[in-house]
Amino acid sequence: MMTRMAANEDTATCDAVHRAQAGELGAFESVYRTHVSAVLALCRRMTGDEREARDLVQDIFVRAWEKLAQFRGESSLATWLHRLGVNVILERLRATRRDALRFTDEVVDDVAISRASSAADRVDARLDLDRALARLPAGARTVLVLHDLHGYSHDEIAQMTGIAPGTSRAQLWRARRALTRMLNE
Amino acid sequence: MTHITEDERQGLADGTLNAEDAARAAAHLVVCEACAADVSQLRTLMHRLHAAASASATLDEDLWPAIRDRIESSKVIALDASSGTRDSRSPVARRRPVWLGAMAVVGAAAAVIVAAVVLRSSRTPAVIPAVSVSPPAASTAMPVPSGPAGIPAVTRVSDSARAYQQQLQQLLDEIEMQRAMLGPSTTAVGDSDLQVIDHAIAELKTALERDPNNTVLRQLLAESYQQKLDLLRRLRNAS
Repeated sequence: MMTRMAANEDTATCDAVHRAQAGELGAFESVYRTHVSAVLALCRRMTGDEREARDLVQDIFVRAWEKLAQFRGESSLATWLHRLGVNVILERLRATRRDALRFTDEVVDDVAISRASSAADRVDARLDLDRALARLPAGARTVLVLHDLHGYSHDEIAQMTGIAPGTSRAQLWRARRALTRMLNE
Repeated sequence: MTHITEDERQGLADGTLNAEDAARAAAHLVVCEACAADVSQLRTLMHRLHAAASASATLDEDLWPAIRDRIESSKVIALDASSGTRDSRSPVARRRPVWLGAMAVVGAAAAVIVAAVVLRSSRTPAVIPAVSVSPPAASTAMPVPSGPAGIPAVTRVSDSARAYQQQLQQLLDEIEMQRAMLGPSTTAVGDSDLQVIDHAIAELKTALERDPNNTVLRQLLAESYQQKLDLLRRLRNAS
């Protein structure tokens, strides 16, 4: 059965998805080429680490290939890929970083930030929001990226990460304050 | 003068404050320079974040060949996405410290070796028999998945191994550079676990040379490679 695609999906994308769902790897390559920039941006911001972001881009597209049959076109492909990407990233963070997603006792304070920064970093951070994001502790960065850059609600973030909505809100405020300080240094 | 709360400052900046509270807070900003400056800074940050949200990233390296190789290798080895070793762990298990997973690695590798020996003489089954390093749910007979539409695909095992080897070698090179930053006990345990997995991989390769169409052996080999990949990633992140 053909997948019914979201109304805003163009014909070429629909065709590529249908062919990829039928097992055509070449069609999936065009899906990759269309969406890799957005997926990479998400990975960079969520991890703050270029090398890990590239690993994750691979994991996400491999997972997308495996799960593509489950894509029903109820949302856009970009939205589906984004959600799948967030799940893959959160899984990886939990599996490979002992301090990842440790929200409750994590404090985004001046000491933590200054420890992670150097004079060169401070100059760069003024120019580069992504670098400033990378200096946030993982938990605070996760909440801020999901909420402020990708529009997830605190309830949704709580569901994805297993923290309370109030904790998500507190982390967000702290992260914004820390970012403001870094960008004004 | 009573200043506005943090809740009100953040709500003004991101527009989530209700209309009544927003009007009251805005009135305060007119008479309080400190609060006005603070909210202005937060609003500036929000504008930068919103602008960044729509920005795409540039990539100076084409990741597609590596992705294609991994997909091709998953076709060969027929890993089941729904019962694979990476995704089947519970959230609690995923939060375990790195080296608590070592025993599981050793156990799984031992199971791989046993399975390799036991299955060495069996021929291509239509379904996977009840031998697997995966959790019990995956150990029942099941068809071999091979892609998004379940399309059968069989290519050479050497292609599959090559795809993993490239990633493994890159990680090994990075860890070698960072070895000095790892503690001696971490290095020792890591090396020991790698030896166990390498031994299992060697056994499986030998078995597959004798029985190249054995689907179970291919699956076990893929899982061993994946375990090694996961272990190396943890080692790299620990350094």
